[in-house]
Amino acid sequence: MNRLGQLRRTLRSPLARRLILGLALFSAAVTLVLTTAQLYREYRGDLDALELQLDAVRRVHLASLTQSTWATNQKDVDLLLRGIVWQTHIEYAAVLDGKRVAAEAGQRLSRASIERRYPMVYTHLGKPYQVGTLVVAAGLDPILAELKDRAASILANTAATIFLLAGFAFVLLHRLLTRHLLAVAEYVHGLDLSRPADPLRLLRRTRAEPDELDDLVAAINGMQAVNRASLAVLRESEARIRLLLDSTEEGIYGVNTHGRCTFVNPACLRMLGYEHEEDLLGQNLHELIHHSRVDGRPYPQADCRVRQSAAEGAAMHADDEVYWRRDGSSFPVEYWSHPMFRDGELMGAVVTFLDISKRRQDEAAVRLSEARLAEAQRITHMGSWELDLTTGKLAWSDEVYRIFELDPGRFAASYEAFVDSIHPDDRALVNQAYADSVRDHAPYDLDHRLLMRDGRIKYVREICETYYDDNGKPIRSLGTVQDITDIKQAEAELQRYRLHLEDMVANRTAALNTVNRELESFAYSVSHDLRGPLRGIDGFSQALSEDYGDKLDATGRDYLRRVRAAAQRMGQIIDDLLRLSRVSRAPLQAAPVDLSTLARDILGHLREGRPDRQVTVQVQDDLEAECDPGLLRVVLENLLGNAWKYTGKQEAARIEFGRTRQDGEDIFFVRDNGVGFDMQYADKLFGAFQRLHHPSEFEGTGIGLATVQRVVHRHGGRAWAESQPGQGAVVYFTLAAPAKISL
Amino acid sequence: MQPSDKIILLVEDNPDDEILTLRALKKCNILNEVVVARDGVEALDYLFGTGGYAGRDLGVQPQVVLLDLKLPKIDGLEVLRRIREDERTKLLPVVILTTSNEDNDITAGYELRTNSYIRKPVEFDQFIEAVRQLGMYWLLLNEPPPSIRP
Repeated sequence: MNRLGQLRRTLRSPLARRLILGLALFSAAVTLVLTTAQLYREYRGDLDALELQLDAVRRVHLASLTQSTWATNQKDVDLLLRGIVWQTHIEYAAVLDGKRVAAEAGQRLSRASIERRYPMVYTHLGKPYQVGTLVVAAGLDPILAELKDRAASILANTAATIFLLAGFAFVLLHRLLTRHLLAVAEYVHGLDLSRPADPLRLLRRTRAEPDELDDLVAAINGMQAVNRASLAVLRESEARIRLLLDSTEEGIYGVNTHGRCTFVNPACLRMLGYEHEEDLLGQNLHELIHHSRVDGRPYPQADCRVRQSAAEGAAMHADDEVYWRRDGSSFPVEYWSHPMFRDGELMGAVVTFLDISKRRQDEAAVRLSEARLAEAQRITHMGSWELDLTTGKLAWSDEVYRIFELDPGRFAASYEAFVDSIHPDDRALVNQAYADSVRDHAPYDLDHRLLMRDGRIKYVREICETYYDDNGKPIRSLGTVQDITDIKQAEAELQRYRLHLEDMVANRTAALNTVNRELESFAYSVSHDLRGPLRGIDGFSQALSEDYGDKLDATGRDYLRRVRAAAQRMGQIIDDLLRLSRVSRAPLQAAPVDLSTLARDILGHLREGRPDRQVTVQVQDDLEAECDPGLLRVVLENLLGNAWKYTGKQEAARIEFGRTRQDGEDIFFVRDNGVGFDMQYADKLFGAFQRLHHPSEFEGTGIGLATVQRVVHRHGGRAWAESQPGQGAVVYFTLAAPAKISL
Repeated sequence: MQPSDKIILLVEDNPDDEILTLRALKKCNILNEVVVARDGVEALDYLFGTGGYAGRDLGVQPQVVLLDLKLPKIDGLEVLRRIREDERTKLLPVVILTTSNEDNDITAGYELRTNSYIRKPVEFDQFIEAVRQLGMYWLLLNEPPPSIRP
C-alpha cells in the first residue's frame, strides 16, 4: 500500500518525468545521430560501389560499344546495352548520337538516380572520331529503400531499448532515490520543530560506506538538531524578553518613525490607565500621552524628545516632563528614549519610563527634612560634619560655620580651619581623641574649648564615629559639634547652686539635729519632769485620802478620786506620747517577722487581762512580713488593743487578723465586730488626740492610731479604716517591699 | 543581823518622790534605816565618806542603793559609773529607780552594771507594789556580796 502510494507519487514526480524524458530524448538523439551517420556511411559506400560499377561498365563496355557503333552494328549495340542494363542497380543505358537516342536499353524507374555520360571516341587512322555518347543511369531507389528499412529497424530497436532502459532507470531511480527523497520531503514537510520528533531515518539497508542519501539524512538531522536548539534558544530568549517586558515596573513602549505605537508592556498600560494594548497600538502616542507640558502648555510634537530619537536616531533622556493618563490626569515621568535600528535602518524608538511622583514626593520630603535638620541644628546649636577619608573632602553644615563663626562664602570647610578654632590647650587632646577613635574603631565623645578671634572661649561637644570598608580601612567620619557654652555656664551656675544647696542642707540638717536633740531632751523632760509631779499628785491624793479621808465628806473624797483619775490619765497620755515619739525616732531595723505569732501573743496578753470576756479570735497562719519587729508589735498592740476595747460591749466579740492581696500588694487587716465608727470621721481617725468616742464609753488617749500610722508610713505603707456604726470596723495597713523602706 | 539593820541609800532629788518612797516603804512595813541623798554628790560623799559624811564608818554600806537618774550636779549614771569604778563599792547592789523608760537610759544603766532597773509608775498603788517587791527582794531574799556585809 505504502509502496504503491510511493510509486504513484514517483510516477507523478516531475523529477522522474523529466529524468525519463531527458533520458529518452538524449538516447533518441544519440541513436538518431549514430544511425544517421551509419546510414550515411552505408549510403556513401553504396554510391562508391555504384561509381565503381559504372566505371567498370565504362571500362568493359565502352570500347565494344564504340567499335560496334563505328561499325554501325545496331544489333551488337543493343545487345551490349542490354548486357549493361542487366547488371544490378543499372536501370538504363543508352547511346546518344548528338541529342538523339541511337540505342537504349532499360527504363528510368527510380526517382533518384546517378547518371554518367561517357564520350565514345573511335580512332581511325590515327584520327579520333566521336561516334556518340554512352549514357548509363543507376537507380538509387532500391538503395534508399533499403536504407529506409534499416533506419526504421534501427529506430524501432533503439526505441524499444530506450523504453526498456527508461523503465529500468525509473524503477532504479524510484528504488534508490525518489522514494527516499519523497520520504525526506514528507518528513521535512511534517516536521514541527516545536515538538519533539524522532530523527529522519530511511527504509534502506545500512551500508558500510555511507552514500549521498546517508549524507543527506545526516545533514537534515544535523540541521534539525541545530534548528531545534536555535528555536529553543529563540523561544527562551523571547519568553525572557516577554517576561521582562511583562514584569518590569518600568513602562516600555515602542514607536515607529511616524510616532505610532508599535508595542507596549503591561506596566505601560497600567501607568497610563489603559486596559488593552490595542488601545495604544498604532496610535500617535505623543498626541495621546505627551501632548502637554507640566504646566498644561501644549507640547508640539516637533519638540518632543521621543520623536527626535525615533525620527533622527538620537538617544534621549528627560525627567522634567509629564505623561497624561487616559483619565486626563498626569504624572511626572522620567524616560529614556533609544532609537531602534534594523539592518542599519532607523525603525523608530523604544521608550522606557518611570512614574516619579513618589521620587518627587521623597525629594520634597528630603528637602523638608534637610530644612528641618538645619533648623534643628540652628536651634540646638549642633552642627554636623562629614569627612571623606578617601578624598580628604570635609563638609560642614551651616551650623558648624556659625559655631566656628566663619563665613561659608569665604572659608571652605577644612581640618586646618577646624584645628585653628580649637583652643591651643585642647588641640593635642582633640587630635589624640580623633586618632584613637579611628584606630580603635570606637566613637568618641569629647568636650573641648574653642578660642574665638576676639578672645572669647566657647565650649563644644564633639561626637564622632568613623565608618570602615570590609578591609577595616577607615573611609568616612561623621561627627556632630554642639555649642554647649550655655550649658557649661548653666552647669557652672548649677554647681554654684549645688554647693550653696549643700551648705543649706548642712545648715538645715544641723538645725534639724538641734531640733531633734531638743525634741529628745523634751521627751526626756516629759518622761521625767512631767511624770514626777503627776506621781506626786496621785501619791499625795491617796495619802490624803488614806490619812485624812475620815475628815472629808463623800464629795471631798470623790474630788480626790477625780484628782487621782486625772493624774493617772495624764500619765497614760504622756506614756503614749513618748511611744509615738519613740516610733518616730527609733531607727528602723527590718527583719522577717511572723506577724501571726506576734498577733496571737498580743491577743493572749489581752485575754489574760480580761479572762472573763468571750472573744472569738481568728488569726490567719503564716503572715510574714519584712519589717521592724518592735514597731510592728506597737502597731498590732494598738490595733488588736482597739479591737479588744471596742468589742467590749459585744456579748460574742470577734476579732480577726488576716491578709488579702489586691493589685499585687499585701494588705493586712484587723477586723472586729465592735461599735465601729462613722465613716465621715474616717479621716480624723489617724490624727493624734483624735477620738471618736467619749471617754466615758471607751478609755483612750487618741494617740494609738496616730502611732500605727506613723509606723506604717515609716515602712512605706498606708493605713486606712472602714466601718459603719454598730457594724464593727476594719483597719487595713500595708507594708512596702523591704527595698522601699526608708531607714 | 536583822533585816532592819540594813541600810537603804535612797538617791532622790525630788522631795515629793522622797516622801512618797518613804511612805511606800513604811506601808510595806520596811522599817530599815533609809539614808537619803538629794543629789549625786551627796550620794558619793556618803558612799566614800567625803564631804558632809567625812569620817563616816565606811565599814557600814547600804544593802541596796535606790538611784534616780536625773539628779542635780552629778547625774545618776555618773554616780553609778563611779560606784562601779571604786574597788570598795563596785559590787554594791544598785537599783535604778527612775521615771524614765528611755531605751538609752536603760541600756546605759545595764552597761554600767546596774543590778536592776525599775520605772516609777505614776499610779501610787502600783508604786507601792513596786517598792514592796523591791524591799522584799533586795532586803530579804538577795544575798549581798561579802565585802559589803556589815
